[in-house]
Amino acid sequence: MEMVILLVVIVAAVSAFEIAGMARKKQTREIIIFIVLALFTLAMGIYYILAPHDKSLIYYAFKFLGLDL
Amino acid sequence: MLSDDKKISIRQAIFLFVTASFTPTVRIVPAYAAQKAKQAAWLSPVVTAVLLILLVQLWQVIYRKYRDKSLMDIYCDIAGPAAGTVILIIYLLWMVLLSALYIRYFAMRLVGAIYPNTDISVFIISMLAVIVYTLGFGVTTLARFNEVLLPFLVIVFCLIFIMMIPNFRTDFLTPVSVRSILPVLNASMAPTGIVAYFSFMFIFGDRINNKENINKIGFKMVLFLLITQVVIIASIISTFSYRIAQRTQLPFLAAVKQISVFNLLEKVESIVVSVWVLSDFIIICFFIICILSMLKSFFRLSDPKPLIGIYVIFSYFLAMLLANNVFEMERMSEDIALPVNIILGFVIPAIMFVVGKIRKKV
Repeated sequence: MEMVILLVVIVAAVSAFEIAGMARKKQTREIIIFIVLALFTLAMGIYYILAPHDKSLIYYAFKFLGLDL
Repeated sequence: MLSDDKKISIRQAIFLFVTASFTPTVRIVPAYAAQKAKQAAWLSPVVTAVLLILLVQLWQVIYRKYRDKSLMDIYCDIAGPAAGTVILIIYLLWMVLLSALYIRYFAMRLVGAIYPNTDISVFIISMLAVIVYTLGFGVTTLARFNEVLLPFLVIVFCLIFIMMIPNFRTDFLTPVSVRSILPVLNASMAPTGIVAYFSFMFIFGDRINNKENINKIGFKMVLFLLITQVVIIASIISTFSYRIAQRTQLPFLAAVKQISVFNLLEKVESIVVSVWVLSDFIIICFFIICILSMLKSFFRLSDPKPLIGIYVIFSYFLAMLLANNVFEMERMSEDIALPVNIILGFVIPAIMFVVGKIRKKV
C-alpha cells in the first residue's frame, strides 16, 4: 500500500509541476495529453504494484497471436 | 553548417542511428545468425547492406520532394489523412513498445552480466533520470553528445577486436558454399530488422537539415555497418564456433571474457558493458524522441517537452509489465520484433514510395 501512495505522490508532484508550466503558456492540448498519460501511468503502476508476478504483456501477446512461448 | 540550432544535420542523425543500432546488433544478431546460417552467419550482413542501400536511395528520392517534412507528414500526404493516421498509430504503438523493451533489456543485461541479484529497478530508475535530464535539452544536445560518443565507441570496439584476434580460429568460419545462400538469407532477418530503425529516424525528419546528402552519408554508413556487423559475428563464431554461439545468451560478452593479453590485461568485459550502456542510453532517447515527435504531430502540440517526465514514468511501468524473464524478451525480439521492424522500416516505406510514384507525389 505504501508503494501505491508513493506512486500517487510522484505522479501528482510531476503533474503539479508540469501542468502549472503548461497552464502559464496556455497549452491546453498539452495539458489534456499529459492528464491522459498520467492516468495511464497510475493505472499501470497500481496494477504492477498490486500484482508484480502476474503474467507478462509478452505472454498475453503470444497467446493473442497463437504462438507458443 | 546548421541553419537552425534546433535542427541537427543528416550526419548527426545518422550517427545517432549508428550508435543506437550497436546495442541490438551485439545482443541479438550473432546468436540469431549462428542459429540460422551456422558457420556462414558472418555473411548475413551483406544481404542487409544491399537492402539498406536501397532504403537509403528510397528516402533520398522521397526527400527530394518533401524537403522539411517528417515521416508523419509524408505518409499522410501520400496515403491520405485517414490511411496515413492509421499507419502512424501503428508506428506510435510500436515505438512505445520498443522503448519499453530496450529499457528492460538494458537493466536485464546489467544484472545478467555484472550485477547478479540486484533489483533491476535500481538501474532503470537511474537511467530514466539521466534520460529525462538529457531530453530536456532537446535532440541537438543529444546529437552533439553522440558525436563525441560514437568515435569513443568505435575505438573501444576496434581495440577489443584486436585483443580478441589471438583466440580466433578461422576454420570455424568455413566451409561456405552455394548451399549457404538460403540460410544466409534467413539469418539476415536479424541485422535487417535492426537497420530498419533507419526509417524511424525520419519521424523527426523535420528537424534534420541537409537531407540532400542522405545518399552520400548513407552509403558510408552502410559500409561502416556492414564491416562492424561482419566483424561482430565473425569474431564470435571464430572464437566459439557457431554451435556455442547460437546457445549463448550474450555471446559477444562471453567472447570478450576470453581476452587475455600476455596474462596481464584481463577482465575487459567491464569496458564492453559500459559502452553497451551508453548505446542503450542513445537508443532509449532515440525512441522517446520519436514518440514525442509523433505525439506532437498527432495532437498538433506546440511543445511536447512537458510530457517527457510523465512518459518516462509510464515507460518504467510498461517495461516492468512487459516481461517476467529474459527468455520471454528474447522470444519477443526474434519472433515478433524483427519481422515488425522489417515491415515498418522497409516494407511500408517501399509501399509509400510506390503509391507516391503512382499518385505522382514522389
